[in-house]
Amino acid sequence: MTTALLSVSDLAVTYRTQAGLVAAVDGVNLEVPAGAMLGLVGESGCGKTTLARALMGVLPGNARVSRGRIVLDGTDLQALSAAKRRALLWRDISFVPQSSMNSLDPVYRMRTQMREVLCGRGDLSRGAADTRAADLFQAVGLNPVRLNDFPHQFSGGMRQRAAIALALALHPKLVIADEPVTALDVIVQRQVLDMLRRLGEDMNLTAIFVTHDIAVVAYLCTVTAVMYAGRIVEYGPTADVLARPAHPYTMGLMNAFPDLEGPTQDLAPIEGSPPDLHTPPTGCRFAARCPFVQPVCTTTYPAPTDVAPDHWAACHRVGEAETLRAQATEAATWQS
Amino acid sequence: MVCLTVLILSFGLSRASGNLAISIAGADASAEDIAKINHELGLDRPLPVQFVDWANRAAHGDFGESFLFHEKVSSLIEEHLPVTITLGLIAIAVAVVVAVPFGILAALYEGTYIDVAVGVVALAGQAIPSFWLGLMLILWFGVGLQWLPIAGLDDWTGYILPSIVLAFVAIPVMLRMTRSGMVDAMRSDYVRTARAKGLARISIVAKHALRNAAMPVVAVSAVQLGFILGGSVVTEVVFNIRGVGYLAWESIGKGDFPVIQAVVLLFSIIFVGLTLLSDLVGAALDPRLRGR
Amino acid sequence: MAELIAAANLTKHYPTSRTTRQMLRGERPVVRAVDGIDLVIQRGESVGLVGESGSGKTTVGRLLLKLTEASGGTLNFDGAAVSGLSGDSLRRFRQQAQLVFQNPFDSVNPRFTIRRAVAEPLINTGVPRAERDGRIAEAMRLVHLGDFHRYADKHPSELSGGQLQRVVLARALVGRPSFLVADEPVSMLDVSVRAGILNLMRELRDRLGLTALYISHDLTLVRYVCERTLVMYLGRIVEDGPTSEVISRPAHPYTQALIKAVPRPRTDQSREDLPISGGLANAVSPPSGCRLRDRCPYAFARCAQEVPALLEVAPGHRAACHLTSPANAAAA
Repeated sequence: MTTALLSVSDLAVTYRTQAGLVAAVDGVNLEVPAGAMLGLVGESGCGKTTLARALMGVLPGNARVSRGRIVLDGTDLQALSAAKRRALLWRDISFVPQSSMNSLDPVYRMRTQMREVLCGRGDLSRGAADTRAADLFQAVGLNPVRLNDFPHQFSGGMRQRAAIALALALHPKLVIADEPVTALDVIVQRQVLDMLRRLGEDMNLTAIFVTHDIAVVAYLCTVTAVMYAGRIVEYGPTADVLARPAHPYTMGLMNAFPDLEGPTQDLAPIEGSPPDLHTPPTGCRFAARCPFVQPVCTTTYPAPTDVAPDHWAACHRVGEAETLRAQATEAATWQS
Repeated sequence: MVCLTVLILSFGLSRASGNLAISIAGADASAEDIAKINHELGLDRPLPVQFVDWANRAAHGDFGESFLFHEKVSSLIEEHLPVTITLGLIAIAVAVVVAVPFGILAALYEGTYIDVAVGVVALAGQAIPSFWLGLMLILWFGVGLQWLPIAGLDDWTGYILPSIVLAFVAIPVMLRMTRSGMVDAMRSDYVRTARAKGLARISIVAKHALRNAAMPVVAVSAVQLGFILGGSVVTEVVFNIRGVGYLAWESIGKGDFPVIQAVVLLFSIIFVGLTLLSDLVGAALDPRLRGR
Repeated sequence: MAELIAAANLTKHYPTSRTTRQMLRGERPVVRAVDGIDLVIQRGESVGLVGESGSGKTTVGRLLLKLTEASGGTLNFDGAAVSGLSGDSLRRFRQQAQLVFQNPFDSVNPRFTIRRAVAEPLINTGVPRAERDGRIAEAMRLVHLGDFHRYADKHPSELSGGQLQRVVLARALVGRPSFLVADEPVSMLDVSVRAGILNLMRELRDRLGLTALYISHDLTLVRYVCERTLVMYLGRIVEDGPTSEVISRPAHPYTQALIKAVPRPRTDQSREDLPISGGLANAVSPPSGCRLRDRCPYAFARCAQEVPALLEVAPGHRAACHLTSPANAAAA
């Protein structure tokens, strides 16, 4: 068994809000093998962005890791002092932000921003940094001449490429990308996805892609983790998880997703909404919306159970997955 | 446009209030004396005629003679201007030196006592009229502690109190702008990226947050200098400093029209100029405003 | 009258900033947001308008609803010229043609209760108070928020995105309009919620015979709800046909690329290179002739000289490409 590059055990992240404490991430167990491109899928409020920020160590002021361990390549990140943890940032683990207008500092040219990490965090001389910056830009499909430009002079797709170049600057062991292609046009999105795929292969990159878009995960990621209400509910090779989902939530997602090919089946929305994490329910957190719910689901939280090698789901009825899947494809199942 | 409007308005208003002839001749002058003086000074002509005549001469640099001092207005202004400008520049410097660091601190310690204290100071500074502040400072530091002179500019210490009073015209606004600019910057996506890069906190605050937050503050300080110069009228009078502000107060009180016109024109030109400077500075600092 | 909307050579130009040199020459560069489109929507049709950012699709929506004035061309609604509407006729038009936006939280006044929000069109058209409640309840039932009393006195911030978008739909339908324009109606909603709204839109089409235009960058949505699809690129319509045809047998290189580019929720999908290259061309000075020609792998001489007309490639299916249109090829 290959040791995972990243191993997360029982991680919890708590926010202090006006209404009290909320555990946006509440007991996450996750393993990312070296060289894997992991897709972290979930809808709004599931905690995936919080999880990504916790891994990076850039949680906002009112949030903290309340329990659990994060082990990156053998190093327990939580046990490090703040200074040591900061030393790892961008060198061992880096971050591609959402393609917002303001993810890159608007007052500095790209060249300056590249130098900031290459010289400041990477000990390269200015000249060496500029050469490397040019190489990185080319690797992501940007003309090195554009290093002279300011971020606002880039189009959305180009800005994403620049952000990716920045993230790869110090050869990190792990890259975390937060919705890297949302908000991009279809054709540009495809180009960026292809570039990421190619880079992943060329550089043997290990990456986590946080997204709500299953199709992007299907295109790009080798491993998939499905997140719901602060916990991972299913994990496994992408092909398996998408073709043979074992958790009812994943089944629901697959049925809610319109496809461009195949019959125009009736889409089935998942009625209801995720639980309020101020007062999380006992037992399975999907129970209130699950068409296959049984009494045990509301009393005991289902332990992650293997359905296939390296593929597990947190559901009491995992053994009947095949039958449930068949039922799940019918829209009637999802109407309460 | 601004200058012209200001001029026309002030011309009309100053003529409408007060009667210069009475000031010159004395309170119990006879009607004929007043009429005679009015005719001499050309004040009995129709208003538009007076204005056009004045504007014509002003365009050639001739601002006429002060009715009260019997000196050329332009040389009067030349004498009084340097003091006011010096005072104004010192005041804006004080304002920046006080407002910016405290604004940053208030933002970094958002919600704590520091932030609250800074907020109170800003509010007080805005609410307290400058003449009251000036008089209080004179009482405490000048009369009470006798640390600083109470009037005049005999030496450099004379600049201290008036520039503090003037600075308080600008401090509340700049304090709040710095604070909110920094709060926004620290929450921004690019600061989050900077944190993720593992940069030291000082680096993040100074190079990223401050650099972004400062742009509007610097631009606004040029305009604030304009307000400070306006505040110099009251402050110079309180501290008995013979600057353009003092000149303005005197001439308004006595109805010395040529001086009033010239001073008003001066202030409006300065204000418009500072606004333009503010725009230019803003564009220089913010690459997004530069255009292609 | 079978045609509800008929647009001919509809154009919208926006002036943009110019350099000093241009100012001296008296030139005024324009962005050709919509550059001469011909569009017909039959009563009861659900039409999808697909394009990327900069294609002009949002502008078309605004033009059809008279939210912005056209720079040229004609537009008819129910037989009458839209440009000529004013006063009473304009008010009637506004009641008949409704809009649903992308972000429900931006579309509803946060201070209104749900009841008040949905009542808005009725209040504006002077529907008597006694009748209003009935109509509101009817509209809420249509969007499956039937247990109205649960929502009536709540405020938008208390509802989820999906629920609020239904409220927006209810508000659009309460005046019994004949035409609905929906601009990215589900893009801000979670996937599991989207399905519900898409189902609802399908149902409204079937039950009410509502004529609708769905504007979206998402082909999968359009496929689900619309029986006809138009594809736009840089202000022009490049393909127009039955949705199933356009998706399974796209005739225009741009449509072909779009379809190839959309990722599928399956791991065994095609990952071959896209046939077209680069990014969106310049909207202020687009290429002469066919606007796609600088990115199109099949471009040849004629593409630069002549703007391809929208001509039939199959019954009811038209494309604007010199290569694929047999009528064009025959004339070549």
